[in-house]
Amino acid sequence: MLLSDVAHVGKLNVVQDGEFRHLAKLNTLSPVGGNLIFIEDIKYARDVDPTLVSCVITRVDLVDTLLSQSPGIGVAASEQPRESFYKIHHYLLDSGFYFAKKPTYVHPSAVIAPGVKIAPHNVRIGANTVLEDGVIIKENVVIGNNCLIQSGTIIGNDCFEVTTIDGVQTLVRHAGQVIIGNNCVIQSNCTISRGLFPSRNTVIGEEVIIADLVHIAHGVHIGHKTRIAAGVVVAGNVEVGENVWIGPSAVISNNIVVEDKAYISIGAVVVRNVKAGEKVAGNFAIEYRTLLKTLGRALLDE
Amino acid sequence: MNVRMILLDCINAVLKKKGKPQIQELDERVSLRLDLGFDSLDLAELTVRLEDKTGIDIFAQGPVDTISEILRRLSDGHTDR
Repeated sequence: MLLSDVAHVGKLNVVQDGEFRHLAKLNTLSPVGGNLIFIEDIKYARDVDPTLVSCVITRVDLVDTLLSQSPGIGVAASEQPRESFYKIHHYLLDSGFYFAKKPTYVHPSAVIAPGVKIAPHNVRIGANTVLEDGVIIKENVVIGNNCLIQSGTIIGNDCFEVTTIDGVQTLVRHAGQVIIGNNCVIQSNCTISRGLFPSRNTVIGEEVIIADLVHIAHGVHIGHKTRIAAGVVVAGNVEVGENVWIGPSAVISNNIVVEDKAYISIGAVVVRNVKAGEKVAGNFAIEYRTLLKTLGRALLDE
Repeated sequence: MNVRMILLDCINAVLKKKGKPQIQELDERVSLRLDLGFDSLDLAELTVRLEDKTGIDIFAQGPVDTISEILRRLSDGHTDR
């Protein structure tokens, strides 16, 4: 797809045409390259890697900066780069750019309760997987073998990405997938959002156990054998390693990396990366012992 | 004041705040959590009280629970200095 092919959709002035194969945000680029992104702030212009980014939609006053930095990339000017970008995204979503529609496949040994709703396209349910009553599976979801999805859980919904289109605050429709490995349990009334773009799907590894009322946002990766207690919120594009414990009602802010065997205490609000094996607690979460000593000091002063 | 007396005083200070009866002597088998009902915050307060009086962080090498474990940490802390 060329920038010039979608210029009319995004009201673009194509300064230098280019070809793209993916749409992405700067922090979730497809590693194979050919990404179309948008930039509204000059500080992000420095982060453009021409081996990954092939086209940029940007403000008129940033065009020269980008071209001088990366002479070979496609650049289009827009009065509202973000709006143009998402208009193009919605247009491409409707035109089949991101994925072809394939019939849903449910393994014959899967147990599907009568009240389950499964999208008719682009869903795969593995062997011996159980979907309880009230489960909703939307398009672009893959669930492995021997999984249990309990009542009221929704998998594959659009997540919280908001923009303004033609003056109206709008929820951005999502084009990525949810991919869930084998032997997972997702308990009741959870929401597992699909990726915003296929360059960053939502991926849950093997033997992951997720308790009731958990929200997993778009682009989150959960490593094997991680356990997530009730009420947890994992915001967009978070990377959680293997064998991690996330305690009840903890919140992990977007783009955070939680390494293997980390321990997130009950109610923690994580706004910094957590190292392997580290135990954190508090709002904002810090090393557990440090927090306890701080609280101990406060109790002493009461 | 020796470390046993300091520990006894600090434990009783926390128990007093919790509205619980004081202990008269240290039984090294006693578990702070199971026998005296200390939670994480109580242990944190005890840690800070002990560190203020002895300069020793009893949690530096990981959590402790019994009186015996605490006395050993206090003894090791004195030896290290």
